[in-house]
This record gives sequence, C-alpha cells and structure tokens, in this order.
Amino acid sequence: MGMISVRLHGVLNERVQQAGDRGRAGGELRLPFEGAVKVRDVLERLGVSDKDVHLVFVGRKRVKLDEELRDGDLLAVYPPMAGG
Amino acid sequence: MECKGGYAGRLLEVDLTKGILTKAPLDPTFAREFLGGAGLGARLFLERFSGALPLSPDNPLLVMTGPLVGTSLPGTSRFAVCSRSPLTGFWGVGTCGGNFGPELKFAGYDGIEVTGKAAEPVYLLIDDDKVELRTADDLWGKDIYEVTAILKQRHGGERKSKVLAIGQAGENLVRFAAIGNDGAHFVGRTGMGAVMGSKRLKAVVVKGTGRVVPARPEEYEEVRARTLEKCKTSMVASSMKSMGTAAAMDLGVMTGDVPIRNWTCGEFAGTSSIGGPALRSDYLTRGAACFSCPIACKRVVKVDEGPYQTQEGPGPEYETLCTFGTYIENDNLPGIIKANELCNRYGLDTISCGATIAFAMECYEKGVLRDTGGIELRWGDIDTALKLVKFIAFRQGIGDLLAEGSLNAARKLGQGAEDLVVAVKGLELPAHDPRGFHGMGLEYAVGYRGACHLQHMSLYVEQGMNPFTDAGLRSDYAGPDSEGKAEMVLLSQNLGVPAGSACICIFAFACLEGKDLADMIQAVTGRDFGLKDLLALGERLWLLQRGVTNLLGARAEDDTLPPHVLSPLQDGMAAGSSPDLKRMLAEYYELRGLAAHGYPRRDVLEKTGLGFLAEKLQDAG
Repeated sequence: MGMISVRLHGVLNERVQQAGDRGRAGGELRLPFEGAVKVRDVLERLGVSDKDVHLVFVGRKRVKLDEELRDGDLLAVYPPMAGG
Repeated sequence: MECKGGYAGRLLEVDLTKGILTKAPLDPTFAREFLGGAGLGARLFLERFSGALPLSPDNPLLVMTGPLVGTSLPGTSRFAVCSRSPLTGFWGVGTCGGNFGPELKFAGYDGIEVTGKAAEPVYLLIDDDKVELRTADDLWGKDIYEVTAILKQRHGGERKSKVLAIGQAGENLVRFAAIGNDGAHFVGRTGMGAVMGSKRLKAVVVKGTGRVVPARPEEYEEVRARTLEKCKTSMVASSMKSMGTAAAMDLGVMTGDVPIRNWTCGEFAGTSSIGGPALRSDYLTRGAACFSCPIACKRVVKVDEGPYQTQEGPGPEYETLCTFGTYIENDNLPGIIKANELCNRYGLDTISCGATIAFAMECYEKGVLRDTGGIELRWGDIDTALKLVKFIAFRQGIGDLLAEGSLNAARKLGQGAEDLVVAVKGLELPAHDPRGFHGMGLEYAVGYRGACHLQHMSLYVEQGMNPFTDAGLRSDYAGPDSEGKAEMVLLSQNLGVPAGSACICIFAFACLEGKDLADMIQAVTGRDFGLKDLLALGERLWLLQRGVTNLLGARAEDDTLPPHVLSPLQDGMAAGSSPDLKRMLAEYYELRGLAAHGYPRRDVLEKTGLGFLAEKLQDAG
C-alpha cells in the first residue's frame, strides 16, 4: 500500500469536507492507495470536479490530470485564483 | 434624474480658478464612439489638450462613469479618474469600484471635468441638480478616513452621501498619490490624487436620487440573469469571495508570478505567512462588496493588538501583500496591514509606494543611496518601510526624494540607480512577473499608462483562467513563452479596454464571455451592439489612449521593460526565463498598426474613426 499527501488550496479546501484533517493554507490530507493511481483518481475520490481545478503540482513539478502518482508524492491542487 | 439608455447626457464642468460650475451636454457622438470611462475621458481630454504640465491648473482632471454604471448588472460599479499623470508625464488613468460612480449617475452626471486651481482649498458638493463649491479649510491636512467621516456626517450620513477624497499625500503632491472613495476603495495608479491636490480640490461629495433605465428592458433582464448566474457559479468568483485577491499569492508562487526582493529573486520562504489563508484566519472581520457586485472580494480586516494595531478597515489586496511583502522580503502580515492602512489614510498608491521603497532598499544595499538621514533601509524591515510611508506622504527627509516615484528618484540619484528601477514609462510594475508570463511583459511594455495589469484581460487569458475563446483567444498559452503572445495581447486589450470604458470590474468580466459584455451594452444603450462591435471599440479606444500618450511625448523607445525583468532569475518557478521582448514588439507593432517611431499609423487611425487624432499627432511631429 502507498500513501499520497494532498493539499487542496483555496476554495477547494473549503468544499471538501474532511473534518479533523483540514487546516489553514491547504491542510494536508493523507490518502492510502493500492495499485496505479492518477491525479484524476485522487480528485474523484475527494469529490473535486476536474473543471474546478486550475493547476496541479507534484512537489514543484506541474502535472496533468493523467499523471501517475507514486508512494510519498505530495500533490498540490489549485482552483483559479486571480490577483488584481 | 433618469439616465435613459445608460447616459445622463450631461457633464459637470468645474472651473476652480473662476469658481464656475456648468452643466454641459454630453456629445452623443462621443458617447457612442468612446462609450465611457477612460476612453470617453481621453476624448474629452483631447478637446482641452494644451500640453499643460501635470500639476498645472490647465491640466484637466476627468472623473468618468460609463453607461452600465448604476444598473444592477454584476460588477458595474466602477469609474475612472484620468488626466496627464504627474508620475509618468503620460496619459494617467486610475480606476476604482465602490459607490461613487453609481451615485454620480443617480445625481444625473456621466462625468465631471475639473480645470483650474482654487485660491483656497475647496470641496465640490453635488446634490442632484444643486452643485456648489465649499471651503475645505477645515479639511485640509486631514487623512482620507477622517475627511470621509466628516463629510458623510455633514451631508446626510454614511449611506446617503458618497465621498471622493485625497489625503495628505495628494495635498503634498506626492507623484503617486491616490484618491479614496468612501475610505474603502481607491483610485490608485498614476498619481491622480496629486492632480486633485494641485487644484486644491480636497473632496467631492455626491448625493443622487435618480436611476439608470435600460433602453431594452427585456434584454436587460435576460442578460442580467445570465451574467449573475455565471458570476455565482464561476470558480474565479468563488475564490475571490472566499479569500479576495490575496488568494493569488498562494498560486502565484507556484507559477513564477510573484516578484521578490525588487524583482531580483525567485524564492521567498515567507509567502505562506502573508497569503490569503493567513489573512482570512487571523485578521479578517468580514467580506464586503462594491455596488451591484455578487462576488464581494473585498476584505475588511483588523489588527487587534501589538505594534501594528489598526482600526477595522479595508484590507490589503494581492498587490499590496506583494509590494509591502515579497518586494521587500517582509513576512510580517500585520505590518503589511498597517502599511495598507497608512497608505489608505494618507492617500498613496500601495503599488508604487511599496515598489519605490523596494527600489530604495536595493539602492541602499548597493551604496547608490547614502543620504537617508540615518535610516538604514534593510530588506525585510517593515518598521523602516512604515516610517518611509509617512516620510513620503509628508515629503519629510528621504521621503521627499521617494515621493517623486522610483524613476524620477533614480534620475536624481544617478550612479546607475536607473538600472534598479522596475517601471515602464515611469509607472512601477504591478506584482505579476513577466518572466513567468511573457505576454504580461508585452502588456507592460506597450501600455499607454505604463506598466498596467488591468486595462486588458491578459492576466486571465495567459494564466488560463478564462480563455475568452469567443473573441478568438486560446486556452493553452504557455506562460514562460513569447510565441503567439503579440496576438494574445492585442485581443486581450481589445476586450479589456472597452470593459474598462464600460466601467465593469475585470473580476466580474473574468467570469463572463466577450459576448456577455456586448449584450450588456446593447441592452442598456439600446443600440445594436455585438461582439465584433466590442472588439472594434477596443481597438479604437486603445489607439486613442495610445495616441494621447504619444502626444504627451511617448515614443517607441519607451515601449520597453526594465533591466531587472529582462534578466532571467537564478531560482524560483520562472528561473532561466525572460521575455523575448524584441520579437513580441515587432509582431505587436505590425498587428496593431504602429509605425516605427511608436505612433499609430495614419491609415489605421483613419480606418478606426480617429482621423482627428492623426492630425494632432502629425502636428506634434
């Protein structure tokens, strides 16, 4: 079994109800998995719609939704966020 | 007064030298061809154009609304203040949300044209048809929060009257002085507060009882329902509602968008301490909205205790979190909130002010700036930054030099200081790094008001947040790449410039499509107006304002980027990247129809209905 850490940022963090596991600044969720798992599988498991996702990073590398994940990966998921 | 078809049909002309107030008709041809906001303002400015210096009485100051302002269409609260900029010497435009624009329409005016200079400080009181100048002797010297509270109390209370006011920075002619609307919304860029100060106009108070009546009511209801729904369901809007513009800090550090240490570094460990989540969890008291806005991105904050205690008030936007945070390597969030409050009170553009302090810190580090009156300007020192904000507002000590803006200060300092300035045409760059997004670099370089992130839609298009595909843009632009960016910038301007002149907030427009805005204009004004018309209007308004800046002295050599931004960073998410400005400029000049010396070509001006501008440019050489 492997483990992936996920940080949902901004409004995505608020929308996913994971009581006790959420914190400020995109509190880290830890998800165990077995076999091959892609970014989009993780999003589906968390109930996050693809269309609400703007950018995804594994560590500091920007990845697409089909990126296959490995044990120990830290996934950061961002909705669109606009400055001004 | 009822503003039928979106326009009151009249302007208030104020001659401060003679003390004469005149209600003048708005030329309907101007309204049709230049819509409103800064576009219409530029056309009116040209009517009075004399080449007058920015702080001279003859430099006109225009406060402009647009046809959508005062309706209940989403995000249509804005207004523009324009004039020749005392910071850049070129066309100056500052825009603002809040409540003043709608109230001015309700009082029955599309705009205010101010010329001359009062013998003593005054404020302008507009109460529907009743208009008068009153003494501001008792208000001069007060900050924006104070003068706003006094004038609201004097003229009907918090909700009844809307106030535009300058603080001490405007009075002291700080070249990047801002104007406050109800002490909560700010006309920040290009120093319009100093133009007000030069005219001894402390404030404008407006009360109106009219309304704006759309020409096509059924279409209006349909487009209103459609666009409100889009704003409510958009993720951009949801992020804004949740964390305001501060959310962009968290994303920006991952895309190379956030400038650090006067644009010389790509990494700063402190960003998580000063981003949206920290602001919300530790200092937010409530959200707030401009007139007729379902998004409500405003942050009301308070620092309860400690050395940076503030009253409850408007919180720092993303730009301010950068300029008083990452630009100077400061990770102290209450310190930034305090800096924001001081800038709001004194009336200073938080972008230019923080950027000028960052510039000064680098000058100090490099030994170019020595005569500081004993102040040590060290990176990360927010206490010194706070001291400098006050010194700038009151032009005390080293503040007198910095109050000139970074480029003017560098010219006085010499010794290579100009290489450390991060400005275009004298306007300090906002906090979006062109090394992460090359198209933004081209926007900055060719911007008619200098480095601008607001009078176009490139921020949203290039970052992939709204592709505006109906206007011919794409959803797959790579940020650190110059390929295809000239066309992207041109189309983004042709969308964003008319949005600015319609006075719709770009945060609302970022949730919509181009056609939605065209439909809004059609429903309110009643004239047939489609997406093609919107883009054609964008071309005309861009060329017009470009031409004004050319008349005020800008040439091709002013379309450039500062040395720091043309140097690749060694670290961070945009490391190794720098915009291919030469290539993008060549492509853009061709597409836009600019001649080699930087003026719009005569044939392009004539084709877009700007023949009168071609004549003026020819006269100017």
